[in-house]
This record gives sequence, C-alpha cells and structure tokens, in this order.
Amino acid sequence: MRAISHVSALAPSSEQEGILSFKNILQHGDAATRASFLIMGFGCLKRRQFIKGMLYLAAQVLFFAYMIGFAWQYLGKLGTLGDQAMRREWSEARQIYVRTPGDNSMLILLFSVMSLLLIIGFALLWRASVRASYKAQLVEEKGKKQPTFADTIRALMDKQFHVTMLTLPTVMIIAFTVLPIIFMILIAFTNFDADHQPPGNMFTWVGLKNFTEVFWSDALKAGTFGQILVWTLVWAVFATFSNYFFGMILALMINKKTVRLKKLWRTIFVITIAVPQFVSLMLMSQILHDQGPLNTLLKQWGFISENIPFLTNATFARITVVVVNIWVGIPYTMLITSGILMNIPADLYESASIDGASPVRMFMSITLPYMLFVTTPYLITAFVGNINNFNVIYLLTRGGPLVTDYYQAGKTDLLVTWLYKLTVDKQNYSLASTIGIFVFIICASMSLIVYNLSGSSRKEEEFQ
Amino acid sequence: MKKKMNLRLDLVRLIPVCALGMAITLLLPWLHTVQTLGAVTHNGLDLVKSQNLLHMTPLTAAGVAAILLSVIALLKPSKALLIAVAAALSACVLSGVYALLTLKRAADASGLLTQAFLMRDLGPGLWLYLILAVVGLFLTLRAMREPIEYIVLTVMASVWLLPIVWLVLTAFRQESGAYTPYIMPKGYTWNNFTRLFTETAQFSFPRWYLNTLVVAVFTCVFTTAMVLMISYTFSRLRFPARKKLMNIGLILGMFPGFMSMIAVYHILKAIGLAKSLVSLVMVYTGGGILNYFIAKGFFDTIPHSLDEAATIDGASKNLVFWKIILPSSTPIVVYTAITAFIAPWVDFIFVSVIMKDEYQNYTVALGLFRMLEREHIYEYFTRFCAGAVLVAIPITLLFINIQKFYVEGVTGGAVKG
Amino acid sequence: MKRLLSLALVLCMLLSASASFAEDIALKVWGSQDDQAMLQEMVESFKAANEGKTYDITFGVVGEPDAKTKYLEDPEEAADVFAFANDQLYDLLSADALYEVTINKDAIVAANVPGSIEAASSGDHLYAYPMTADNGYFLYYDKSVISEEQVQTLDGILEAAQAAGKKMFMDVSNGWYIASFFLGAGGILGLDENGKQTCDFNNENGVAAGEAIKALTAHEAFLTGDDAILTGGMGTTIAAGVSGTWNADAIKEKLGDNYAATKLPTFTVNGEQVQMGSFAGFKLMGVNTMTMYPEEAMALAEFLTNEENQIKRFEVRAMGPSNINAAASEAVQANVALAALAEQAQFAVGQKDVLGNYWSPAEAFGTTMEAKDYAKDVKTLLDEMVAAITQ
Repeated sequence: MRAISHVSALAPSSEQEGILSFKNILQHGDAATRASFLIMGFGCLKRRQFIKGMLYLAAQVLFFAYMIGFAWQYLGKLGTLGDQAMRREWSEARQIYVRTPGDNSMLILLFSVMSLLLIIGFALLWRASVRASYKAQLVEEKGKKQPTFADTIRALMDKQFHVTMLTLPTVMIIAFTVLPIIFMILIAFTNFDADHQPPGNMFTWVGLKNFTEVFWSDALKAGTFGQILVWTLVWAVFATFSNYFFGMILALMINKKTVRLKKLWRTIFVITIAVPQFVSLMLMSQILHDQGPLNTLLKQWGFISENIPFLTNATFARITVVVVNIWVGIPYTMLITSGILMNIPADLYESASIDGASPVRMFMSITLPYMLFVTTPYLITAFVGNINNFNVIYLLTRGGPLVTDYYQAGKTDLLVTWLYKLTVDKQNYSLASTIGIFVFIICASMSLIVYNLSGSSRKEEEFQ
Repeated sequence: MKKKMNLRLDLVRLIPVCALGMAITLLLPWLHTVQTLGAVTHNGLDLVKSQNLLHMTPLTAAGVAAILLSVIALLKPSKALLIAVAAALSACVLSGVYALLTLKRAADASGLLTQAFLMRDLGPGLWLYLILAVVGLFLTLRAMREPIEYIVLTVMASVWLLPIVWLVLTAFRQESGAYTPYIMPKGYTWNNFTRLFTETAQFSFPRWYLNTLVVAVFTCVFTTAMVLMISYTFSRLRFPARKKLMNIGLILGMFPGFMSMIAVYHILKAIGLAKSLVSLVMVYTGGGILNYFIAKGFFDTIPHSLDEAATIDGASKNLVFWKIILPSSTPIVVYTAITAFIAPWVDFIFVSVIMKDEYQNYTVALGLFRMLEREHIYEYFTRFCAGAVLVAIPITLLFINIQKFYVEGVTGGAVKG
Repeated sequence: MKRLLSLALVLCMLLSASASFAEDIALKVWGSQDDQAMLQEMVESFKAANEGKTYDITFGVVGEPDAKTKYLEDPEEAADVFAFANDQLYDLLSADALYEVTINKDAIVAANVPGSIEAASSGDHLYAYPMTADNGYFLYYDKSVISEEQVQTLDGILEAAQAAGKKMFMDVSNGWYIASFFLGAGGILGLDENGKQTCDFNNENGVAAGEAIKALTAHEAFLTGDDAILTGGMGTTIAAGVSGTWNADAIKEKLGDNYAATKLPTFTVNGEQVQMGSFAGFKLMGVNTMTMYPEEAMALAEFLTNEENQIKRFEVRAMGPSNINAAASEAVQANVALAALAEQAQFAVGQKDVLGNYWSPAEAFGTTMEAKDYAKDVKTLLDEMVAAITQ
C-alpha cells in the first residue's frame, strides 16, 4: 500500500510508527519479513502479493545496477572532485598529442548529488518494503484476506489520494529544481571559475573562501556587492510600490461607475501584456536609446538640444528602469486589483461621502488600508519578483552604465543580473553561486515569514 | 427642462473661447518673417502654404469645426451638440499630434525651412494649439457632467500603445536598419512578413514558430494538470507533512532560475534528452509547477460544504476532484493554462542553454533574439518587428477573449484575505 | 519514477557505448548563421577530396563571437571543428579546449600572415588554423563631407563633420575600440610571469590618452552607440565612423558613391599628433580536444582554412583572408574596407595577452567619459580602471 509513499516523504502517524519501527519488526517479524531486509519485496511475494513484491524486487535490482554501473565512479571522487586532469601524450606514429579524457569535476559533483538523492529515495523505498512485508505478515496472522493490488490502487484514488497527486510533480521538482539547487549551492564552496574549467582543468573544494571574499576580504568585490545589494533593495521597493499604486489608480479610474467602455480600456492595457516582454523591453531600450526615437522627437520639437542619456547616465538609468517597469507592470496590477476593488463594501464609501470626505481622503482612509490588508501576499510575491527581475534590467541597460569602481558590474545591476553576467560572461560560477545563495536566503526568509504570518495562511482553516 | 439642467452652462460658454484661442495659435507663424535657406524673406504662413505642408489642412479643418460647433452649442446648448464639439476637439488633438510627429520630416523634405523657424514659431504654436484643445475637451466633458477620467485614460492609453504602434509601423517599414533618425517610416511593405516565411535558410522562422506552438501546447497541458493536482492536494487533502511540503515548495520557487540552468542541462543530457523539444517541455513544466500558490488560494475559496456532501454520498477524493472542484474552477484553470502557455513564447535564456547549436529546435523567442545580434540587426530589425507582431497576435487574441477568467482566477487566488 | 530514471540512464549508457562502434567518421562543424550555406559547400568539396573515407559531417549554428561561451557550456557536445575570434584563445587554452596543430604546421605557418600565426599561438605552439584577418577596425567616412587630408587627424574629422552639421561615430564605451587611444599612446597590455594581466594605461601617456578621450567625447560632433547606430545614421547624420568589415555592405549601401574607408586618424597627445593603435583581430579555426577523430578533424580544419576556401570566403562573405596568397589577389586588394584594414594593421597589436578582466573596466571608463561625468578626474578613473583590470 505504501509502494509510492516515499516520494511524498510521508511520515506515518505516531502509533503506527511504534508498531512499524525497525526494532519492533526485527523482534516480531517472521523469517520472510526479516528476509525483506535483504531482498526487497520478499515478504510480499511470499504472501502472494505478487505485483507489489515484484515491483519492490525490480526496484532493488535496478538500483544496484545503477550504483555499480554508473554512480560509483562519481561518488568515489566526491571528496576531491577528481584527481586526474586530461592527459596528452605525443604519438610519433600519428604525429599528434593523443588526448585521454580525465576527471570532470562538474560531472562528478552533479552525478554524486544525483546519486545521493537516489540513495535517499532508495532508503525510503527500502523502509516501505520492509514495512509492507511486516504488514502483510500481521494481516496473515490475524487471518484476514491480503489486500490485492487493486485494493492498493483504490486506496490511492481515495485515502491515499495525496500520494497519487503529488508523486509526479514531486519527481519533476526534485529532478529540475531540488537537484540543480543543491548542485549550485555546493558550487559556492568550490573554486569553479574561468581558471578551473572542466574538462581541461579540475576544480576542488575551497570551503568558505568565496563567502569571505564577497562579504569582506576582497575590497572590490565586497564593495560592489554591498552597493548592488542596496540598489537591489531600493529598486525592489520602488518597482513594487510604484506599480502597485499606479495600477490601483488606473483600476479605480476604469472601475468608476460613470466611465463607459470599461472592457475597451482594459483591453488596451492588456495588449501590452500580450507582447512578449523581451520584445517590448527591447523596443523600449531602442526607444530610449541616446539616438532613439524619443530623443529624436524631443530634439525636433526643440525641447532639448543634447540627447538625454536615459540609459547611459547612472541617475537617469535608475529612474528610467523604474519608469519602464511601471509601463511593463501596471496592466498586471490593474487586472489583479480591479476585481478586489469591486469587493470593497460600498457602504463604507457611502457613509464617508455623507461625511463630506474628498475622493483623495476616501482613497487614503478606505481603499488603501483595505487593499493593503487584502493584498499583502501579492505584494510580497511582487517584491521578491522584483528582487529577481532579470528581464527589465538586463534587456534595458544590461546593468549599465558600468563604472570603474565596481567589479564587473554597472549602476543598474541587480544581484541577479550581476550573477548572470558572472556566469555567462566570466564563467565565475563559484562567485555567482555565492551571490545566488544570498539572494535566495533573502527571498526565502522574507516570503516564509510573511506567508506564515499573513491572513492567507492563518485564515486557511476558516473555510474548512 | 431637466435635460438642460444637466449641462453646466457656465462652462459651455468657455469652450468657444478655447476654440478661438486655437485658431489664433495657428496664425502665429504669420506674425514672423523668416529667412529661408535661399536668403529670401517670407512670412511664415506663406512658407507653410508654399511648401505644401499638407498636415496643416486637417489641423485647420478640425479647428474650424470646433469653433463653429462650440458657437452653436453656446446659442443652443444640447448634449448632442456637445458630443459633436468633443469629437471635433478630439480630431484637433489627433491631427495636432500627427502634425508634431511629421513636421520635421516635412520641413526637411521641403529643404527650405530653417530649424529656427520650426523651433521658435511653428513648434510653440502647435503646442499651444494642443494644450488649448485638451483644455477645451476637459471643459466639454465637465459641461456634460461626464467623467474627466476619459482624458487621463486616453493619454495613458496612448503612452501604453505608442510603443506597440511603433512596433507595428516598423514591422511594415520598407527600409532596413535599427536606429533611424526619424519616426514615421518612409515607405511601407509586406515584405518583412513574407520574407520571414520565404527566406528560411538563415532564420527558419516558420519552423521555430511551430516548435514554440508545440512546446507551448504540451507545457500548457502538463503544467495545468500538475498545478491543479498539487493545489487540490494542498487545499483539500489533510495529511502529515502538508505544511512542511508547502513551505518547501514556496522556498524552492525563490531560487534564481538561471543559476540552475547548467545543472538542468546536464541532467537532461544524462537522460538523453538534451537539445530536444521534449526537454523544453520538461523544463518549462518543472519551472511552472512551483507556481501553485495562486491556484491553491483559489481552491481554498470554494466552499467545503460541497465536497463534504459528496464525500458523505460515497464519492472518493478522486471523484470529488473531477466532479466538484474542477467544474467550479474555470477561472483558475484558464489562468494557469495561459501563464503556462505563454512561458515558451517569451523565454530566450533557458532555451539557448538547452538547445545550444541545435538550430532546428530553436523557439521563436530565441530566434528573434538572435536577429538583434550585432551582425544581423541592420538587416533584420524590421523582420524582428514583424516576427514579434506575429508572436503577439495569438497571445493578444487569447488574452482579450479570456480576460474575464484571468481576472477572476488571479483575484480569487492571489490575494485571498 | 526514479526507477525509470535509472533505467533511462543505463539505457543511455548502452546507447552511447554502441554508438562508438559506428564506422562513419562523425564530425561537427560550428559556424555563424550567415556562413552555413557556404560551409556546407566547402564540406562537400572536402568529402570529394577524400573519397576513400565516409564522413558524417553535421553543422551547428554558433557564431565566432559566441564560440568560447558555447564551448565551455558543454565541451563534449561542442563541435569538433569550430571557428572563434582570436581574443578567446587564452580562455580556450586555459580550459584545455584546443588540440595543438602538429600536422603540416610548417606549411600553415608559411601560408598565413605572421600576425595571424602569432594570434593562434602560445609560445612556440600553434593551437589553431588562421581563417580570416578581418576582425579589426578602421575608419569609414563620407567622401563628400571629409577630404582626404582632413581624414588624417581626429581633429580634422571632427571639424569637417561639425561644419556639415554631422557626427563622427566611435563606440568609446567599448574596451575593444577605446584601446586604440591607449595603444596609440604607447600603452601596453601584457601578462606577468604568473599569467596575470598587467596594464600601464594609468601612466603619464595613458593619462594623456585619457584626456584625449575626454576631449573627443565632449566634442559636439562626437557620437557613440553600437553598430546599429552607425549603420542607421551613416550618410544622413554621420559623416565618419570607426567599425569593422562586417558593416561594409550596409555602409556602402548608405553612402553610395561617397563610400570611403581608411586607417584610423592621428590624435593629440601632449600637443603632438600620434597615430591611433588598434587590436588586430583574426578569426581562427580550432579542433576540439574532446573529438573522437583528431586527425580527421585537423584535416577538415586545415581544408576549411586553406587558400582556396579563404578566397571563397572572401567572394561569398567579403571576409579578409589571412592566407598570404589569397590576400594578394587583385579582388582583395581592390576591396576598400579590407585595404583600410590592411593599412591600419601596421599600427595594430595582438589581442592574445588581453584577459577577460580587461573589458568591463575599460568599458566603464568609456561610459563615464561619454556620460560626461567628471566627478573624478581622469587619473583617478584610470587608476581604478587599471586596478580592476589587473585584479
């Protein structure tokens, strides 16, 4: 019955835990159950649960084949990340240097992590198989009929439905998110950079060196990191709240009772969402370019005689990215807030207008507090999204304008764009990973705290 | 009687004043005598006429119409007349903006007008004309007791639409090149579109378009299915470790995605799927399913009494999902599906890491991105715009048609209090 | 699912093992998008020239500027034979990416211009096959605006452009172009004994060059931007611009009869006229160390860069040959852009000793100058720049 439960890291309830503890099973299990410790599914097979038993056995065989045939060569070198670089030997006969591939540190690390995850998974499966054998034994001792494979399936459709539902997504998440994340976190503890590139060279563990460098010991890197961190937070605050307020004001205007053609107005703004973001941002960077149409127009109209350095002067560029982000983001906020705005109880406004409150007053004392209360989770998501807002920055300014006292970065660079440039342009993976971990910690702790304190999480049960 | 009371007559009186002011600004050039490049002295209006700057005609026509209509409205105020005045004033604004956009080109083309004349006389006149027209519009709306939000909304709508209009114009532009020192194209053509489909040796746009469509459809199906599975489980089923798993999911979603790209690529390579469209579907699905929080929030709002009743009637959890939850979740299904469908159209980073040199399996976003590289931008910029328009069309249609669901889904889920 | 995964892994290993038994010589070639059709023709003639063997040659679209990045993402999957720009040589060597050229080395060295061999070598070892000698820059100008005499000096160009209400274009916020001032003033980018970057752009001459850059960027007729700006405005708003052969067609189209190109001008350092330097750029073809068929890959790389194919490359794509005989042909000599490049070549220096750390700080200095941000003086900025470069 628990054939797949390992995947969802399902912990049995405490009383079951007692009966199904290994100690108890070892004491009370019969020979077949005990044999299941070595040969998975043995107990099930013996008690005529053929399909389940065979599945366990097959899993065990495949696992051992995998470990011996594939994983071992990598796991064995995890400690050093490889000791033999690519070799070259002169071959007189062929008149070339013959190459023999050496260890590839990156693959060693990656496949080791993968194998470790598989080992954990296998351990859970093994525990489940032992328990399944013991359960079958208990059922037999009580003289009941063994559940058939069909029964198991039925349970998976009802009582164990969460197992059915979560298995596939969990596997996907482990393969494409968890495994890569562990890999990249480990990279931060190595010296994987342009001078230690596999397959020609190997990299190895360096402990906390990258962290100390970024945070204090290397003045240039630490200084850059500090300034970029400050700008990232400033940017996230401005980008989030400017979008939030202007989007809400737009939604309020469209929602106003006397305004007609509501659908048309909304559609106009929605069109800008539909143009792929990288296209609209590339367009924006063209439009705002020193030689772009906007400067051309302003000059033709006689407002300016010199081009305005929208994207090339630090201050201008910082303002520009925030403004363009408003252009990009308002339609989304408008869509999201217009529904909620309509939910604000109308009598609040009525009593306020009887008291003679001005529209601004009503916005400040009714709309805003209500919206802030209701949309806190959305704001947090938006804030974290802006800390990681790669597209807007990278496509508009590429982080520029660069300055001489930053390490490989410019004045509008966020931590994410900096780490992207470090990875793609400079192959400095270890430094990038270090920054990535830091970004990750900020975002994760913030959203965890807010989600778990906010109404969304606490009121969850109210609907039940 | 009551109808007339609805209009604010004091404001109606001010409208003709504005309109007359507009007429005067049009005459501003006449006040100055100007030297042309040919060293002959003219007065400004002569020049405007003789150089055939035709965009002045609609401007004048709209202005005259505004004066006439507003005077009639003054004598015999009625709602219909004021609407006509508003229309005339809007025409003034439109023609004014068009004149502003083309003025310099027309002047340059004539080869006679000096820069100073444009800046000093014609320019300010036009600007005053525009401002007065907007003030007139404002007054008209107030007089009709219509919300002045229309003006703000129109201005905003044009700011939001102008880049899109520019994109479309450039897509039809005849001459190639990126940063042209003028706004309106010199000539229009369909060639940029047809060449995307005929000249495929270097940029096989049709193939990429098809790739993206296929990937988007599959990603959409898988992601939607899995997101619904996860959010239903977290919203409706109670099991140990539920809270823990939800928090883990939340945290995982915070990791900057492209940090894991390289690892993802090697994993895909290890299972023999690198550089294939299948791998793209897997990657987008893997990334998309972590966004289950909105859907989960939406499910939370569906009353529990419904599924409890069904459970008492003996329905399994599986059945409850299909018969109770799913039918009442159209908005969130649509929301999730759209978000998943769009991802492959807009991503160019993951796809470049995964596809590398496998040119045939590019998606349209990466292909378009490549057109802007330094060696290609001059020749391909207009085709890039054409391609972008082709990408935007289906997504726009999709959005317009299911906007309602999108709004309901996201408001129901994202921000449940 | 995990079972499936491991199964897939095992299957995958079996498959890759069996694939190596195939008899065809499987090679992959990388080239830029524009080169694909031409490369296919070349490979067909290569097959025709080696009839005894069966080849399975495939193509991947990776242009020369991206070759290093794409190679390092996954060397195993990278092409066996790939073209790259010579500034990537150092990084490729430090990743041990290139097979040393040992077969026919002398013939190759003799056939190509010394600069290209130097650019493809480290010490006495040759690591790549020179393919083109056109990856440098020079000056395009509008004959109707700037006279042949004026074009000799930077001041003359600026003066002429300003008189006509036009601009002189140079992408100063780019380490590649901005170097021409420092190199012209005698600055040196080199490597110390530990392989670390050295740079003297902040010495007296460097500061003088920095001041010259400041004066240029502050000039009314100066215009910066990327290539798209140049090609977009040439002829209408731009009278002269510094760029390379890849823009030759677009600029020719724009300027028509007024199309002209020449070496970079001289500029003023401490009151004297000094010739601007430049980076000499070559495109090279390398053989991947991970290849299964080193000899065959080398033969292919050699074939793709031989005299005949360099001429073809010139005819089809107007790429300047590095092959001495090919470069001497009349057609090449008559090409305006390549002639200008050759003229500039005598003042050009190799790019081999320029490491990855050079580019961003140099760009940062150029950006600061272009933005006319004079909060710090030139000397301070150059000190910071050099500190970051030699970091």
